[in-house]
Amino acid sequence: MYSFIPRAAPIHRDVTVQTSNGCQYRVKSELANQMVAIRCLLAKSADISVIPLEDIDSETFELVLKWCRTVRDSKVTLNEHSARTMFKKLVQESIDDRIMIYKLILAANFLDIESLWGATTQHLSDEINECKSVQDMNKIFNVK
Amino acid sequence: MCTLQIEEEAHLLHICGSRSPSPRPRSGDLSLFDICWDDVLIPKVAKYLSLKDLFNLRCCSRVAQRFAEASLEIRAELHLSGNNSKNIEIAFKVLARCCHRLEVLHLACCKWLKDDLLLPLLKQNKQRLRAVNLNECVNITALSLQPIIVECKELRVLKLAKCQWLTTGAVDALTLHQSNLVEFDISHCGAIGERCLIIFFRKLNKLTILSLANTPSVTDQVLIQIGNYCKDLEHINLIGCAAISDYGVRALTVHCPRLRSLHILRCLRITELSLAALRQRQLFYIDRPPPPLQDVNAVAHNNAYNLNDFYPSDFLVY
Repeated sequence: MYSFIPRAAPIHRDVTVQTSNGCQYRVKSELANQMVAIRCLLAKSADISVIPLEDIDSETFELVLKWCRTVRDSKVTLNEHSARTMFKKLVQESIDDRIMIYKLILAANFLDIESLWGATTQHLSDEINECKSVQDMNKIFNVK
Repeated sequence: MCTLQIEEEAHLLHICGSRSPSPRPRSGDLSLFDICWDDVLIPKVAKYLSLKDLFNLRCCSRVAQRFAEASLEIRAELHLSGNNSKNIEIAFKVLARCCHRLEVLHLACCKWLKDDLLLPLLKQNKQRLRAVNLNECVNITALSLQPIIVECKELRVLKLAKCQWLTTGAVDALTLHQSNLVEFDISHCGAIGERCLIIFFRKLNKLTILSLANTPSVTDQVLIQIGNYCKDLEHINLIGCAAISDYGVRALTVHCPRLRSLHILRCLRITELSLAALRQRQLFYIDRPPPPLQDVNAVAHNNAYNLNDFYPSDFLVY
């Protein structure tokens, strides 16, 4: 069962973030509250106007926001199984290469979004599980 | 204002633009092993991978091999029970070298397992092992048991069914060194004597699950000793212990209030005289079904003469 880790107080205002390629996004408080790193930053320095996300590009951040909206709007209790199903749907709808999944894992780790972190890593291990041989792994993950 | 933990401060410094300790790959070059190993790949991805996946990864590249071996290093459980596939000994040597934090080790029915394969694995993992299953490992000896008995201080579960090499001396050593076991299985171990078992149960009084199936030296006196000392016992398997009778079972009924299941198939000297009281307990399981109602009285009458016919022992305590 996923739950917020209350390491910092919830945010009650919308926040502005700037991605690595200079795009700015206005993020609603209920979505920003899922990003523990941003909560911690604002708890330390409440007057920051724009939060820099040096390692996350805009394409990746839009997918992060899409995930956070899905979690917010989900009517079922978020657990390992439901997160796996939701992420598979996100992959089918919006992700067409594996590199984007790696970027999402890095973004989830960076922003400390537990639900996205769990869903992406579970998805990756499911893909590894499905490989029947060393050749499959080399081909799918381009491991040489 | 909240107080931040040290790792949160470090993380904040990072997102405020401080230098990352590792080079950042260009987006186009991003690959599986560019994801942080310590924070993500090993704790979050590797824990879902099977041994087959890890051994396949080992064969892909040198980096993949390092990743697979780093994952094995922190793996807590190793389940190879019944795995007698080709080249398993070679794989086991890799596991013995890489695994350093095993807590659970299942090697039941591994016919290929020998002392020279098992001892290195035990040497690397003796601090954390808490459950060891060596049922039917017929080709190891008491030599492999020695580090388990003497050095695995966290051991709570030990299964040695059908280990005919198990000696009275090894059980005496267990009595001396391992008083915290909660689950113990020595079914089909014919070499263990009655006296050894009596002394054993006096010391190992935290047992909750016990299997003594088909152990010929299990007598009523052993059951009395279990009743006297193993007050937390919940499940006991006495299948095929032909020497026990109602007398011993009654001792368990009286002294083990938490007992929830009893397996007594092929124990011909146990009758409803002792089982009836146990059947009254809620949620209690006995593997022998109750007799039809009209037969109960007949059974009670016939078996009244058998009460005095219990197995005599030099150690019988009144």
